[in-house]
Amino acid sequence: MSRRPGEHPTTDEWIGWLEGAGRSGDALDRHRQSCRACEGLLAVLSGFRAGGPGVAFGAPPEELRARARALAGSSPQAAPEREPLPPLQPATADDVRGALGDLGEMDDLPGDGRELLLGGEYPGAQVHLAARELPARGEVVLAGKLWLEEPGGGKIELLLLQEDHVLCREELQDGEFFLLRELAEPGWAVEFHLPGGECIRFDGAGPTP
Amino acid sequence: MPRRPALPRPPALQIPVPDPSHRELVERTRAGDPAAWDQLVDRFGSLVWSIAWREGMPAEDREDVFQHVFTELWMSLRRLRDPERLPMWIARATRRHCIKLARRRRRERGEPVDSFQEQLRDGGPGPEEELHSLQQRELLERGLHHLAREDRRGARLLRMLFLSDPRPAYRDIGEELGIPVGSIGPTRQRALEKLRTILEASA
Repeated sequence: MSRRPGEHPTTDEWIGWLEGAGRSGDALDRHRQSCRACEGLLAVLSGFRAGGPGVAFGAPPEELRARARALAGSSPQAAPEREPLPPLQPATADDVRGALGDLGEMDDLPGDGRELLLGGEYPGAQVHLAARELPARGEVVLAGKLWLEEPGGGKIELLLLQEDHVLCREELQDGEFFLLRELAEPGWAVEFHLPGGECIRFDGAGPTP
Repeated sequence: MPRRPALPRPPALQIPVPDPSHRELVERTRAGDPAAWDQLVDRFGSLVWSIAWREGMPAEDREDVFQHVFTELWMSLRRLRDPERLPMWIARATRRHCIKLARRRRRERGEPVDSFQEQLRDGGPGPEEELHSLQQRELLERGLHHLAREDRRGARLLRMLFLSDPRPAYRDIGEELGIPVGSIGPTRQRALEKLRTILEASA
């Protein structure tokens, strides 16, 4: 469509362009790259399209928000319930396939995805860890054991994480078998926090044996 | 056959930098400032509520999810390594609680869980994409709210044209707003222009 100099495309033209008629380098694309007003209008129209029609960005009922706010009022010291995480010390995961004969329980787990065998000797503990990703269900299954260098040295905390998000937390005893099954997307990690303060971390994106 | 040029990436609304930052609110909450926690609840409440809505949770379950997410956040505050990523943390936690609760409901009804899981996730946006579109929508909602103060009819028109599902016919819109059908286009144009100005000023 020919346009007089300084003339802007119509809103309908931009809507059509957003709905798939647009192409990189076409006349409208060139126009918007040099026109701040039309670029702004397009951003607004894109915002309306975000999430599709009929999707409202609604506020929760006030009563519900009040209940969430009350979490802080219940105990001013409640938030610092847990100690901060120590700095990460990514572990180099050694293949411990041979040692996993101990973990016969894994045989019964569904296995339609990737399997990782991780573990080895680390400062403070020896770890055997097997993980199976179940992509169809968006889950990961973890099983294994951890032995402390100093037997009976206290409780071990196991965390399954997705970035900062603690998806699952378990307390383990020295040498206790653990088996977890949790919703997790690719990019999960497992951390073992030892009684002495050490942290052993395995990244799910790590090497596949 | 020549390759078709790629679709251009449409521009997105610029998300304003939050003030105070997520990090500051988290640190103040950790230090025992309940007002900072209130701000976190207010800042992210709509995000949690909207994700649960989009996941198809009935109202009662949305309330459960809301409570779970904020309880989990409260318990996890000391563990957050990067509070600036809090929106993603919230989005992910909400989605997980929705899936878990939906699965539980399926089990309670004796229905297979996997099929619902597929329904919930297949073809749906990933958490990053979902968060981005919800943030865009939230910004737009705030802009419309602001617009309604100076141009109530324009804000209503934009809602009817772009957010209603299904979109009403022009004749019905005209009747509802008390304007001739021929005025809808110019009214829309003026309202969009005002909304653009509001959103640019907020960014």
